Amino acid sequence: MSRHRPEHLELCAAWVLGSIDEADRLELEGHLAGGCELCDREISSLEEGRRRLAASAAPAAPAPSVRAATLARVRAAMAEDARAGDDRVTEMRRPGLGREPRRPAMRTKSTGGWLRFGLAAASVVLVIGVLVLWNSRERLRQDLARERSALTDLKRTLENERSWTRILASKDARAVEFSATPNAAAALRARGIWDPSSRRALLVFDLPATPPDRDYQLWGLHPSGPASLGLVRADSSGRSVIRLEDAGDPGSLQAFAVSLEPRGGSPNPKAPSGPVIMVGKFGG
Amino acid sequence: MIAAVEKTGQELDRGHLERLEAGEEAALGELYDRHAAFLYSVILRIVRVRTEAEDVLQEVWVQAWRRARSYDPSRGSVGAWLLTIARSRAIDRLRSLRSRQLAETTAAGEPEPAPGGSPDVEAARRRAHDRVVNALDSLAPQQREALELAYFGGLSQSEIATRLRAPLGTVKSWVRQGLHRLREIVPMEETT
Repeated sequence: MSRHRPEHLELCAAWVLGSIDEADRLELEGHLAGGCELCDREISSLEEGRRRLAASAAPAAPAPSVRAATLARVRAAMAEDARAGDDRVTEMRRPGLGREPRRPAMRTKSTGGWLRFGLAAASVVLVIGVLVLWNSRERLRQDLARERSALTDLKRTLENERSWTRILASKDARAVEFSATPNAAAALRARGIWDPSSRRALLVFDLPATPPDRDYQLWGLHPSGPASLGLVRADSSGRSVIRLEDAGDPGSLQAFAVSLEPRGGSPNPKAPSGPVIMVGKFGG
Repeated sequence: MIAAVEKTGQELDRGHLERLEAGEEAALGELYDRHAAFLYSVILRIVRVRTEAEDVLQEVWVQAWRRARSYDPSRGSVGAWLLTIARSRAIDRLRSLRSRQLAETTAAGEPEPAPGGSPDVEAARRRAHDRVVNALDSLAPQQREALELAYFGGLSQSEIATRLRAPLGTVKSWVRQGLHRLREIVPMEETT
């Protein structure tokens, strides 16, 4: 868990409104994952403000037909999900919907004696028992399908995180050591790791905020020339974490560089248009 | 008294959600009746096209059913949970519309309000809306715009800073202070 800083409270507001920048989100969610009472209280309070902001939308109502269309759509989604996770179609329980198991026709007691009545009663009990079991089984099947889907999502997330931690342990991984060029007007810090075998790189920057009309841009330097690796947008504390899935051809990548560009980046993806302010060379 | 009524409403919602999870269509209808108009208002404010807003509203309920199990009462009310889903789906649709350049050509100005629910409910919603709009009017114009761009416009903080030509740090402060200000000056019961 990162130590609480006052800037985290401002990030909470952007997070609550769903307008947080990506680098800020990574920073805040990393911080929240370790538990922070101050931020938790702030988020609860801001969520109340968000509810009021939502109420500023002019009152309106959907057409009455939307209600029935919504119910039908949910019903179709339920059937579709059940089919995807099961070989049987289950549907929402509602009066008159035709997937209820058929009850066998019951005989009346007028033509039989007590024995026949007893058998009929036992049959009814049996049918009810089967119905209850069938319903329970359908519920369990549905639950299982949902849990499986959630588990698959979690596994995917976990595998992604693991794959990023693996680059730290890769025998080919090399440290990236950034240093400021004479063009840099302020204190800049960055470090990272690059794994040529997976082509991935994890870079962490501490940069001063850019003016509103400027952006930092990351480059991979090759003998054939620079190649843009995207923008580096730092949060209010200057922190930015960049995960590169493909840092470029490991056979020719010589270094990383950061330039200061007009908002949105250099018009030419093959060359910086502004000054190069940092160069990141590979260590051991 | 208001707190008791509010609690009952939240308990009702939680009961409906549990029944929905168990596959009861009636529960979905009851949740829909309690929340659809408000969710629709927010969605319409974001996407600004009635047909699109109605389609998004339907998606919201499908997603609510699919995610019913993930609802955690300790993280907020069912209404707040539904609102989060609605806003998120609406912003996704807005981005898709923007990329198709439909939002600008199909919608013109603020959508016309339409009645919804009983006259009492409608009057309460109207009062809450007026109260929040008055509260927003009391903020500095750029602060109000920052809040609206963030929540209804789906812009990130840095995009808002660029749009308003304001430093990023200032935008962050505006948004945080603005939300606190709304919470302070509008009583909760008026927006629930």
